[in-house]
Parts: sequence; C-alpha cells; structure tokens
Amino acid sequence: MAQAEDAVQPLLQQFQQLFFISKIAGILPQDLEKFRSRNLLEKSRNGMIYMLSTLILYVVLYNILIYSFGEEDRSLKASQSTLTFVIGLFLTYIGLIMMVSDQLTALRNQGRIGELYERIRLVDERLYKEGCVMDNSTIGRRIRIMLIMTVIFELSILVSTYVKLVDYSQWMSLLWIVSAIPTFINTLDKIWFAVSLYALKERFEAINATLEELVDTHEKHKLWLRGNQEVPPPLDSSQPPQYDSNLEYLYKELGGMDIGSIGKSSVSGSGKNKVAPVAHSMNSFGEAIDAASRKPPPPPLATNMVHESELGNAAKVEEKLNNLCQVHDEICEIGKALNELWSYPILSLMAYGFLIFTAQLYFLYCATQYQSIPSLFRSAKNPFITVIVLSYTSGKCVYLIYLSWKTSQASKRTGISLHKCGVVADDNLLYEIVNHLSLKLLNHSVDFSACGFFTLDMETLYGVSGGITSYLIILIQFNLAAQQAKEAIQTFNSLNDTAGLVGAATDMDNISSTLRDFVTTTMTPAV
Amino acid sequence: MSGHLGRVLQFHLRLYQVLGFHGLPLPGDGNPARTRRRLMAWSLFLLISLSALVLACLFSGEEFLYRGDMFGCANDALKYVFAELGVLAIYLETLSSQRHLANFWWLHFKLGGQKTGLVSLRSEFQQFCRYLIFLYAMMAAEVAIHLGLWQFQALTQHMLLFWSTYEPLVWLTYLRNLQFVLHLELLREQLTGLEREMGLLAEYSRFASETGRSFPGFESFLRRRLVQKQRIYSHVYDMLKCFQGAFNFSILAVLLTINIRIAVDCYFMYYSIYNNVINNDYYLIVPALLEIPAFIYASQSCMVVVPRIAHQLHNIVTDSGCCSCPDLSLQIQNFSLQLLHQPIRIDCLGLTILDCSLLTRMACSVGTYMIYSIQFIPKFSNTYM
Repeated sequence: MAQAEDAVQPLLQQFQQLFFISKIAGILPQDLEKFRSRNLLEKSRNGMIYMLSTLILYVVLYNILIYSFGEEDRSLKASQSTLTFVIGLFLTYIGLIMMVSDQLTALRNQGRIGELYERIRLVDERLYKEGCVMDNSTIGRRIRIMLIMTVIFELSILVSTYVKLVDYSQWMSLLWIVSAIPTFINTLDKIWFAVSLYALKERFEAINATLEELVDTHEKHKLWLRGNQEVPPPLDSSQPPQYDSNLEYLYKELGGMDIGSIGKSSVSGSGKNKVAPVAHSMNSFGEAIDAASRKPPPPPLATNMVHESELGNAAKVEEKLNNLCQVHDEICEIGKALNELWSYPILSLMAYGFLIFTAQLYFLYCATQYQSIPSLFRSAKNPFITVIVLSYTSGKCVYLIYLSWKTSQASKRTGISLHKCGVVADDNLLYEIVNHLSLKLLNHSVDFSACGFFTLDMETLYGVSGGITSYLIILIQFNLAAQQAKEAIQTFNSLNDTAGLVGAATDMDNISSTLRDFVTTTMTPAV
Repeated sequence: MSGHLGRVLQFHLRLYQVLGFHGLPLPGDGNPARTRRRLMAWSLFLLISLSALVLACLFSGEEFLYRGDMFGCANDALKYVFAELGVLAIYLETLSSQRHLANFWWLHFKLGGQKTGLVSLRSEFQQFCRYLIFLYAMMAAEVAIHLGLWQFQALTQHMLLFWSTYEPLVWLTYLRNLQFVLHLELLREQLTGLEREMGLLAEYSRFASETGRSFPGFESFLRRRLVQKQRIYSHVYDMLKCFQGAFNFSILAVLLTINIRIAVDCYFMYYSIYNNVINNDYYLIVPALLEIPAFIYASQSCMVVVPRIAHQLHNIVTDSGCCSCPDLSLQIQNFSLQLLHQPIRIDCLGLTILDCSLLTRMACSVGTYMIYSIQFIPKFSNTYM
C-alpha cells in the first residue's frame, strides 16, 4: 500500500500552472499554499472572499462597458430593425451569465472538487496494484497546449477587434479589454473539466490495455504450447487460412502491432499508458518465446509454462478481472460526479455557443448589408475576425462534446476486451465470471449530459448544426422582410426620388444575389 | 497475379489504386514497400493536381463559372468548393489512414477472404452482385445522361469548360462512394456467412433434441463451434472498426458533397424554371440521387444482420434428448452478451447512424430548405415594389 502511494503521482501535480492562473483570475476559491505544497484542493475563506470580489468587479466592469459602448445602440433601435436590436440586447448579457454561472458553480463545488481528485488518486493506486502505471505527463502537456491556444485566440480576437473596429482615440476605449473577460474565464474553467475528463478516458484505456495485454499473452502462450509451428491456429477448421506474406509484411511494417491493439488504436489513438510489468511475471514470458522460436521446446517444460499466462488460471484471474471491473465502475462513478459538478456550466456554455454562433453569423449578414449592429458584436463587421470568433467558440463546444463521446466509447470498449479474455481462455469457470462482469459493465455505462437536457455526443452536434442553419435562414428572412417594408414606406414618402431609387434597386439586385449564395452556403452543413 | 483475391475484387482494387484511393499493394505485387511508396506518391500527386485544377477554375478569367448572373456563378463556385473538399478528404484519408486499411484487409484474409484454387467468375459475380450493379448502373446512367443531354442542350463555351473540369471530380466522389460500398459488402458477406452457420448450428441442435439422435460429445462440439463463431464475430467487429478508421472523414465529405449538390441543383432547377432560363443540365443530378441510397442500403443491410445472428443464437436448443448442457447455455449467454457489447453500428464519426432513417431525414431537410429558399425568390426580385 505504502509502495503504491509513493509510486502513484497525484494527477493534480500536473495542474500547477492552471491552478495558479485560475486562482489569480478568480475561478477557483481553493487555498493556493496547500495546493502548492501538498497538491490538495481545500476550502479557503480568503479564497472565497477574493473570488466573490473578482466576480463583483467583473460584473461592474462589464456593465460599465455595456453602458459606455451602448451609446450607439440607443440610436440603433430607431434606425434599424427591431429584430437586430432585441437580439443584441438579449445576447449582450449571455456571456456575463455564463461567467457568473461558472464562478458560482466553482464556489458551490469548492469542497467536492478536491474529493474528486482524491478519488482519482485512489483509482490510480488500485490500477497500479493491477499492473498499470498511469503516465500523467501527457496531461501536463495538454494543459499547456490548451492554455496557449486560449491565450492566442483571446489575444487575436481582442487585439484585432481593438485595432480595426474600436475607436481607440478615446480613453474609454481601453474598457474594451473587459469584453474578453467572460470568455477567458469560461475557457479556463472548461480546461479543468476537459483535462479531468481526458484523465478519466486515459484510465478507461489503461483498463482496456491491461485486458488486451492478458489476451495477447495468452495467445502467445497458446501458440507456444502448440510447439514450434509457424502457422497460427486456424480460425475455421474447414478452411485453413494462408497468410499472404505481402500483406502480413505490410501489416507489420505499418502498424507494428498485433490484432489486440486495433480496437485500442481505433478508439483512442494514443496508447501512452503502458501496462507495466511490475506485479506479474509476464515479462519473463517474452524471453521464453524468443528461446522457443530458436529451438524446439522440450515437452516437460510446457507444464511449467502453463502458469505463465494468467488467463490459464481462472481462479487467479478472477480476482484481477473483478478488481478491474470495480475500478471501471469507480471511474464511471467519478465520471458521473464530474459531469454533475460541471452540469450547469456545460449547459450555459452550450447555450452560449449555440446562440453566439447563430448571432455572429446573423450580424455578419447584417454587416454585409450595411446595417448597423449592436456594439458588443462589432467583431462581426470583419469576416476574418468572425472566423476566429466562430472557431474559438465552436472549438470549445465541439471539443467538449467530442471528448465526452470518446470517453463514453472508451468505457464501452472495456466490455469488448473482457469478452476477448473469455473467448481466448475458453474456460467454463472464466465464462461464468465474464458473463457476470459483462452484465455489470452493461449496466454501468457512463454517458455525459448537460443537466439531462441533452447528451454530450456527436448526434447532438448534428442536431445543433441543423438548428443553427434553420434559425439563421429564418432570421435572415425576417430581416429581409423588415428591410423591404421599411424601403416601401420610404418610397411612398418620397415619391419625387423615384429616379434615384431605380438605380438603387439595380444595386440591390446585386446585393441580393450575393445573399442567395450566402444562404445556399450556410444551409448546407445541416443536411 | 496470384489469384488470392478473386479476379473481380482484384480488378476493382486495381481500379481504386489507379484512382489513388487504395494506397496498399495487392497480393502478388512484387516489392510491396516500393509499391506502397509509389501509390502514396501517386495519391499525393493527384491531390495536388486536382486541387490546382479547382483553384484554377475558381480564379481563372475563362468562363468556368457561369457569368450570366451572380446566382449561377455562385452556384458553380459552390459546387467546385465542395468537390474540392471531398477530394481533399478522400486523398488525405487515403494517405493518412493506411494502417486501418491494412488491418481491414489483413482481417479479411484471416477470415478466409482469399480464394484457394480457382473460383468461377460467375460465383465471384454473384458474390459482388450488388456492388457491381451499383457501380456499372452509375457509370451507365452518367454516360447515358451526358450523351442524351448534349443532343438537346446547346454546348456553350461555359458548359464545355465547366463540365469537362467538374465531371472528373463528380466521378471521383461517386467511385469513392462505391469503394465504401465494396468494403461494406465484404463485411456483409462475413456477417451473413456467420448468420448462415449459426442457423445451421441451431438446426443441428433442434434435430438432435427432437430425434434424440446425436453423437457423444455433441454438446461440446456445439460449444467449440460457438467459441469459433465468437472469435469470428470479434474479428468482423474489428474489421468494422478498421473500416470506420479508414473511411470516417471521407464518408462524411462524400455524403456532404453529394447531398449539397442535390440540394443546390434542386433549388437551381426551380430557379431556372421560375425565371424561364433554358437549361437542362440539372438532369445530371439523377445519378447523384442514386449514390446516397446505394451507400445507405449497403450499410443498412450490414446492420440488420446482427439481430438475426442473435436470433439464431438463441434458437440453439441447449437440452438435447436426455441431458441438458450447462456449458453450452453458458456459452450462448456469453456470445449473447458479446453481441450486446459489440453492436455493428455504422456511423460517420458518431454524427449520425447511416441507415434508412438518414435517407428520410435528408429528403426532409432538402425539402425544408427548398421551401425556405424558394420563399426568398420573390423577395429578391422586388416585383411588388
């Protein structure tokens, strides 16, 4: 036990930089000193006060920003369509709502997050005892990459908007910096969620890898027991397969792997977590097989070698499979807890993503029609900045959805690996164990959802992209109708300008055909 | 030629190699590593040259895009852009996911996919009957419509330039689509073979229990067979995973490209009828209309086999004659659970399951967007002002 505790590095060790930045920005209230010295997330009264004061500061600053930049908005209602005005008014605050929900949830959860990481550490210890060592260094790298990406996106949006679209001759224009705060804080908070989720995914994959490793060892073992035959065991007795030397060669060259790792690579793509040969004598087997390939194995040795493959011994492997399944359950439970802790922030992020994506595109359309748009959405005036904003927002949402989906897939993969173990060992006692555990795994799947409103998987993405295009087209139609009504009124009011209007109408024709392309482009991804 | 693959399969894989879709050497090729490098270089060359072609078409001063009005021009540009997207996805995937493809074929060989001895051409044709019908029907339809259409339609400079550059891209997406169908057919073959054998096992066991005639060790024979089938099923499942790994993005890209072409052309058809533009080249979407159902039909027919396998599995009678066999029933349970854990579900990137319901949704969405965008037409023309 003591050895396992020493050997297992806590996951939170990798979170040092992230925690420091989060603490400064006021996302997490926990104690900084304790985290530094002992990697513990503990409640802290000072942290709470600091966090609340940052929250209030942000809200005040943001409102000042809205007020000071909202001068032109008040004239917007009179000059432009009511629709644009109302959408702008409604969406101005959604970023703020998102940030407030993030911070309040972090306050609510401050005790429970620490527990969560403690549970992950316990899981690591249990995994270590089963022979998998979790390598957390990839997580540290991931955090750094995500932080750098966040800073790059935020800075590029902020700076390019400030330089191109904000009148920076005035002193008040510096307030524009505040406009980046809600998204920045939200992203930092989501990095915590994403990295923790990724850690869970890695643990699921480690379990799968352990099971596959068992299968591989047993297969090699069976092959060795058969003696020095070059031909692998035939799958179908009626049709002895002949291996094509070409493709076999290619297969080895391309993958350098065996059949067991196909599933792993197709599900995960990264097999960083090695199954360490600490607890078991598997490693000695590899040498044995080398020796066996050189000289024909002496028959009496075969009886000794039976114990080298764990799957040969049902009673021994039962404990291991049971333990692995229990760890799997525990990880599923941690996943559910993690999901629950972040359920409101995730919901608000998804709502934000959907609304902002639609609004940004709509305002981009408005800007191309030379209509004025709400001041806080001025980034829509420039197509390039819009692209950056859209990829930043959608990148956040899609990455979370993708990761949740992948984690869920990895958890489901365990059942498949378990069945492989059963089939390869082909032992009645083992079948009973496998059947039992398999049912257990079927009942213990982890699916991530946003407050239960929708599950976080790729099908949701499909639905959302359809929704965005539909709403966009409807909005554009309303906008078009409003513009035409306005123009019709103007025509009646100023009949003497008819000649000038004819010219305008031809102009309008050109504009409207660009609109048509726009519509056809945007309607496509939903299909 | 070693005859390992069967002549039909060999021929079509060779065809895909020529198109740069299949980056692996076939059995019988000498020096596989060099062949593979050459194929990769060929794919890369095709990718670059096709991309250059599309870029040249988009930005050239010649009349590649329709210059009559802005709308037609954008329409053509849109088609080029999405065809380029498709080409990009196809060739990048060919270059990047060779490992999955190699695994797929390796598993195919392992499952007894190669033919020992000479199999008659007729049985090979029967084996790939659906795929061949789809492929040659598509080719015939495309060529026939082109031949027929240019009899009626005056071939302007724009038409000539546009279709001579756009048509190869269309063919590439269609052929890629049929490559998916070919792989799915191989999967389906394995699955139906498994189902047939499960049916036989069920029948044996029923016969044994009804008549009481069996040989000693019959249960253990059945059990051994079941274990073997479980292994095969597991390999078929791995094959499916490899298929998805090898083709995920291009499935998405190809379906999107074809679907967008249909949506855009349907709308354009309405638009040109509405504005009395005499242009009949929208008849060319007919082969495109066949493509998506062909793929979805292939994937659906793969997916429906699994419930039948489960059904046959539970048809196996466990107590034959006098004594019941707990081992056999345990094995059946195990297989059944395995089937629950490994459902054959073909989806592109998990976005949506590729069965006939997708077809319905696609038709619905095309209809809905048509209605939306048809509403735009009178608003653009400003007739009531």
